[in-house]
Amino acid sequence: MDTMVADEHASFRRLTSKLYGIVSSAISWVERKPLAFMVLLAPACLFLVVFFVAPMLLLLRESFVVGGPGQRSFSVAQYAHFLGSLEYLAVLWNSIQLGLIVTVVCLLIGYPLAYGLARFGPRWQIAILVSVVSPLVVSVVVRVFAWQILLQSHGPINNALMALGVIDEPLRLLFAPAGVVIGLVHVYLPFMVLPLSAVIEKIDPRLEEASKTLGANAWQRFWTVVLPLSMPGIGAGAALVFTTSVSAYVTPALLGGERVLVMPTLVAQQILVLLNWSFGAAIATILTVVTLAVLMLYWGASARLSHPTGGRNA
Amino acid sequence: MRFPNRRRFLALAGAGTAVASSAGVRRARAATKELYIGSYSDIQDVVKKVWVAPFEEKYGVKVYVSAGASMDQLAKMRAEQGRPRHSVMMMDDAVINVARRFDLVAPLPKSSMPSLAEVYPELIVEGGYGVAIAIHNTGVAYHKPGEAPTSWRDLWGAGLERQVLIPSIKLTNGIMMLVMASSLKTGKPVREAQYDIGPGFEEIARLKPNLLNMFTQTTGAINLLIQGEVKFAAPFFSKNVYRFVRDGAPIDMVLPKEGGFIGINAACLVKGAPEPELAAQFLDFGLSAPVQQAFVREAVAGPVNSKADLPGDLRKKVPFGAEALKRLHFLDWGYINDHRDEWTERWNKEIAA
Repeated sequence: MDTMVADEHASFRRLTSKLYGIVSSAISWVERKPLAFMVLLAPACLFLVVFFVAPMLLLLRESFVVGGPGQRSFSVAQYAHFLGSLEYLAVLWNSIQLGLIVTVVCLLIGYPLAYGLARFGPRWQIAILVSVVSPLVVSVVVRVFAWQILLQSHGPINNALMALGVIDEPLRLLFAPAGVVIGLVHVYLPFMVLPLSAVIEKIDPRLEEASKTLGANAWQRFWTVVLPLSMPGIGAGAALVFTTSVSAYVTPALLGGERVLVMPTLVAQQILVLLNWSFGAAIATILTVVTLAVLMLYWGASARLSHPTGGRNA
Repeated sequence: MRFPNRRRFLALAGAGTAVASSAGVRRARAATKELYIGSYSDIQDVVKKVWVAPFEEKYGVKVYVSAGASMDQLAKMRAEQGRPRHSVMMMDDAVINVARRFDLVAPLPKSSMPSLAEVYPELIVEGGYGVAIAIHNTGVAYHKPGEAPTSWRDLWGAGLERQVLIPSIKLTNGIMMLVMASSLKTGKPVREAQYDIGPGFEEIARLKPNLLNMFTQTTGAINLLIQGEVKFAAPFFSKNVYRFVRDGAPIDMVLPKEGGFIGINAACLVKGAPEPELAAQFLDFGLSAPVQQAFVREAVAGPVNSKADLPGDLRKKVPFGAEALKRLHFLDWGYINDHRDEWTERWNKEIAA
């Protein structure tokens, strides 16, 4: 039994090293023939420019426009209007807060899963992979409507908790921040687990063994060896989860409704209902800038954390 | 004989297809006129069955239907402005009013639309730029076996914490709720209350503890009502409620003593669109008494043609006849759309979250 697992392990390793071989020979080819590489890269670049960069620039331009057709002029009025209103700033703060909470919850749930995915046998790996990735297979609308039923005050979750005597009256889950967090964590968990496990997998297990030999207990091994070395994975995962949950529209709209107002809801309202494209564009731009700012703050902090300067016993 | 290799085979097949398409298919296309229309999503099956299919058969044309909510259709019209593809668009009267502001709508040609003369005059909307195609009662929907409400005030009742759903101001019926709230607070008739909306906001703010949500998805809201998660949902259109009642859902609706609003599904002709005569003919066909009669039965709606009849059991559920039209509240969408930005902003600040 053990040897079989070991065999599977070995074949998994062989596969990875073969893949690595392919990638590294591809890289050396690129180094030898940069021109051919640029030709290969052109379609992707063209796609990005046409469908991403150009629309973003149009959006940015639209956000500085006031007046209808024929009398359009440059103005920062849209930004002044948003930033001058405490209520709108509160919505911005709500969005950021929601993104941070979802990121932290994803990290707490996702770290053990990522560790298992990187270090357990192939069977466990498949089980974890399937359960983590499964939400992405279901359409967002189906998934969210299912959560709507589960989260109701007389839904299965509240009924079970009440039957167990954990709570006396139903928790407010639907059309409350808690429900939105649950819905977002469910779908964005893979974005935390997958990059994180890729990084953990690359940590040399001998480092853990060495620290064990030197007398470190399980907690110390985790805290001083594995965690610092997995910081790049946490950084990548957190960035993915934060940006996607801050910009999520369908899940907050259906699980939070207007009782949990977030920035994408405001953007949709301005653009789809009020046809005020300029103000919608300005709100979208503000959200993008603030999200980037939070990410840069975070990356700055995590860069310092992952390169600790002395003071630590190894 | 050698079997042709793959390349030769493909070349032959390609040539064959090219000949077929240039001769036969093109001739068929020239003979069949095409019309693109936009329909509401919720009644698109009915539109296709009782309106589009008989029209195609009678006139030997092909009609393509693209479904969407009123605002989606407006977005399509804006995207196509200058070289439109859709010739007829179905959208709420409130949205036709917005479309006119963007200069997207053509006036209805009365002379080539004989059915217009049979339409109740108050249902020709926006000064002849739009016409109702089906009308609905808008009242209070409730979960059964709960007690039927008698007044709009009942939504504010005690012991209903997080038991009520109202629409977001995004939706047409969200505006109706706001106007009704103002009427309740000020005691003014609905027609005047819409011009004095401030008290409406105060009254909705007072309703907040009872609200589970301000919904933007009608289907989601109906589900919550059917499952008993909420007791009341208002204002709701009769078409949405009775469609589910027909399938046995434990819900019903009433027009409270203060009266209900009229919900208007309307249509308009797109400015500068292809096949303008055919488009007018199509719309006229849908307004004619026989089509209206079949249409409203399937969609559970009131007819707009005064000569269309309605079975007795439906007459209690939907607006029918000139008398019923007098009892329902009409809103001044021109005025409301002028103030929609301002009202939405106030809603975001005082009601939402």
